[in-house]
Amino acid sequence: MTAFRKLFVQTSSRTALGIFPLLVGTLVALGAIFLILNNENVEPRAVYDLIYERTLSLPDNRANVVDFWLPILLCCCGLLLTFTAGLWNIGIEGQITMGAVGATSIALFVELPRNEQIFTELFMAGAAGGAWALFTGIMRTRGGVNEIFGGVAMNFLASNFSAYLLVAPWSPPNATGSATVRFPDNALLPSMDTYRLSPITIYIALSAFIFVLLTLSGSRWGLQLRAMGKNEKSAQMLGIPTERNIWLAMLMCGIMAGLAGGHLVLFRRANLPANVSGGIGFLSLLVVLLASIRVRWVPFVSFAFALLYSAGLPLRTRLQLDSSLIGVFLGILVFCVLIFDGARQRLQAIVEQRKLLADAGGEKSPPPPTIEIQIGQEASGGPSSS
Amino acid sequence: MRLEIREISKNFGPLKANDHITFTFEGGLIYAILGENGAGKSTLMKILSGYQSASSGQILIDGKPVLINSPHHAIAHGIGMLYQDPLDFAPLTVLENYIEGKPFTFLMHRREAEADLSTRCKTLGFSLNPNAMVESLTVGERQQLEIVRLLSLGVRILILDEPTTGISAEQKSQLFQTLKNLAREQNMIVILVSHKLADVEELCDEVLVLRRGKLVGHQILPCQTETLVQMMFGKRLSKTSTQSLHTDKPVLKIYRFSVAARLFTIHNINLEVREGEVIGLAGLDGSGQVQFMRSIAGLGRPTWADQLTGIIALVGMWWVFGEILDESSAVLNLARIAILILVLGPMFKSLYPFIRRRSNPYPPEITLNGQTIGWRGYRDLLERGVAYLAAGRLEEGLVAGLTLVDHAALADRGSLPHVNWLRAWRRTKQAITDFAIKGRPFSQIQTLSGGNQQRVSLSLLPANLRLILLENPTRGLDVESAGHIWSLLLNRRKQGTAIIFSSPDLDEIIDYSDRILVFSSGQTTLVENPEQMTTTRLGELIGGKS
Repeated sequence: MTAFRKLFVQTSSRTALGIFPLLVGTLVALGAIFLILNNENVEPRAVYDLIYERTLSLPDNRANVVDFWLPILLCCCGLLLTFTAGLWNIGIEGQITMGAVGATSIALFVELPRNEQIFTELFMAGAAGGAWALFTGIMRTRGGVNEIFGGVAMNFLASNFSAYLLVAPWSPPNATGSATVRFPDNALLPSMDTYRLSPITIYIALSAFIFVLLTLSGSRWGLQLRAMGKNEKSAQMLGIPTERNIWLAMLMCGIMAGLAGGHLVLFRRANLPANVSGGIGFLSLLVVLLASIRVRWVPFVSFAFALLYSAGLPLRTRLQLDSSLIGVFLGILVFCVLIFDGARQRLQAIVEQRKLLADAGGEKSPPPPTIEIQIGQEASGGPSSS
Repeated sequence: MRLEIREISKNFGPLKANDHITFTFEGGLIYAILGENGAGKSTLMKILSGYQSASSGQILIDGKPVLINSPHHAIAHGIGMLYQDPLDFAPLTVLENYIEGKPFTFLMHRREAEADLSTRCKTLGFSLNPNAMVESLTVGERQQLEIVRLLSLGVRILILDEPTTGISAEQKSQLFQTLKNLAREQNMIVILVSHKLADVEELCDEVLVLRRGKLVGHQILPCQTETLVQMMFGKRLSKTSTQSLHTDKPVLKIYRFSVAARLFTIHNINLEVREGEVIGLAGLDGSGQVQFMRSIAGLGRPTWADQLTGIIALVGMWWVFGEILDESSAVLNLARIAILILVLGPMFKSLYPFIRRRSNPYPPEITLNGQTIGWRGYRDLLERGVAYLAAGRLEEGLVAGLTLVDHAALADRGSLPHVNWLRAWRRTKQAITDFAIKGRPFSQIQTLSGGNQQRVSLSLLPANLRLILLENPTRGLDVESAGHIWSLLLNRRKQGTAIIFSSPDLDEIIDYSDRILVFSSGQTTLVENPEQMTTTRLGELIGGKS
């Protein structure tokens, strides 16, 4: 029981340490944003009121924010798996794009009964996104190409491929190549009666989040991913199928990103536009970084991002502020939180070192390799352990 | 030259890693600091070399008190430390490494530095190629580079931490000669931290013994080895029984096997390993012993799946590019071709061994219990009873940041998708008892000593293994820990498990092997009767004398 109580105390202190950078970083970022607004002669209160009015005050606005949030949440869920495994899946933008292309290929050229049509479109979206991510994973394990470089190459390829489709085979007659024709109503995801929200996407996003939460908190596969993220070579020597896990994590992430892409074209846009992802992949990368790869925080952080992004357009029209200022605000927020996360890591290292010393009576070793050898023995033979 | 430490203490919470240590080191002498793992030797050396500051006490050089807050300060006061794994920059050349750490100048002045390096190497009897990449050097050569570099920075007190781990007997005797010359001719103070009593007796003039942070003994050499052992451990140590237990039933057969090592490529290795047999691999660092074992374990050699996926990926990528290549501008096409080459280049490389093997009329054969395993990967072989323990325990074996319980859960081959934490916890408690691990179930693995990490590694191995391959199994361990590791390993032989291990310690190879495979200048020689072998004779075989 003592061991479990100790584990609980350790977990609580880790959580407290984890919240610290988010809180302090947000406060500092708000201060910086206040100064910027002051410089623009805009009352911060007016901005806050406007953001509230255009995002949370009316049901339709709230639905709009949720609609913006769902694909981000899906992408974040996928990224949580790859980041835990130590895979920096920067190619998520390409996976969203290919998911959208996959869904479009069915929406434009296949006609089935409604349910089968939507199932096939979403299946194709997931399959295309998954295949795109899986290929990056294969390049990583078989070709020795780092997933960051592979991801950048695949992003480039995906955006060019979708641009080519819009210019040539999928271009509507007499069009400039900026988007395909509107999909038939039969091909679009159904909406709720009261709000413009897709229940299917809500189910998918929530299921994805629960799946990732359970996987990373209590499953054997989640533990394997965690070990791989810390040391892939050691994980391999412990008999963990590292290659299969890399492929699987990339595939799962690609499927979720592809479904997010599918949602964009099958619900929000009702066609395939150029630059379909609109940067939500990169936004998701920021969210997961900001949440320091902690599953429980991701829905809240991603919702805050979605909320701020949704308020960009009204800022320009009502307050004559450039809508890109929202991007600047988010940048400041990420910057501040990351800085304070660095401080947290130092603090955590000190706290853990002290805890280990108190627990085992040893000293945690800095760089020279032999020191570590000495410490544990001291720990076990030292006064505190007796 | 005189170095005095007065009442040096270092406390970590309630633990006293160094407890009021006072001693005076005189120039022209070589000192050894002895002590079991955790005695406080490395902490004391870290304080002297500036990696840590003392909680209390004073350091005096030639009677003047000095403040040492960083390695930079230590070097400025003439104290330098050579680590077991030299702290050099592998992707740089010898000359570039030599220049690193010197006072900053905008230009590197390569010619002057090269001339300086050559002169110093000639004086010390080293032969280092200034333009060789450090990653291509042996550990012994890297140590030579580090010694030259430290001396060029004005170091007069040289601390060496386990310098003979990972180097050959020949390199060791050259290193010892250099250290003796530095002490005798240049009046330097040399301090050796080692677990190896034979090294200490061969090299040093005086010995300091630490136990639980305190200086418990000072002995002028030569003296009886048993006296040193008793000072270190407070008791006599019994030797692990090494009675031969092998049968005539072969576990592993290797024919026409080739291994490309850093120094040589060894062709046509033939070996049969029998149940319960221990085979020691001896040779200079980089002669192919490690690559030989890694190849047997399926690490780092291409498998069928590598080739197959490489080919599929190539065809797929080519098809995608071919589809869209004609539609875009010349610039875009060029960019795409560049990506094609960059991304697919490594895949082409991985196809080469496959093509080479296909063109070989007499391909190599490796069989485990009569089954061919030539194209199988490590995980597959682990399930078939082959395990590999690398020398770098935290680099390849255990996961820093995870606890002992996490490791037990990872090694658990249960079929359920969730982690059975209770079972993992029980298994850990059992392992702590059975393997005498000094640690707790929720201790993070990196906080354990090297010996305890090795015990955890052994506890994680599946039962009923057919073959265990070990790189330097007692690296950095004191005599007691090394003996315990070997007793755990030798116990495995009773179940018929064969053991292949490599070690730079020739005594260890002779003591524990049933047969020895010597790697020398691209050739292998099998020694059938190690009990009739001496370290001198084994050293000669390694050096190429038949």
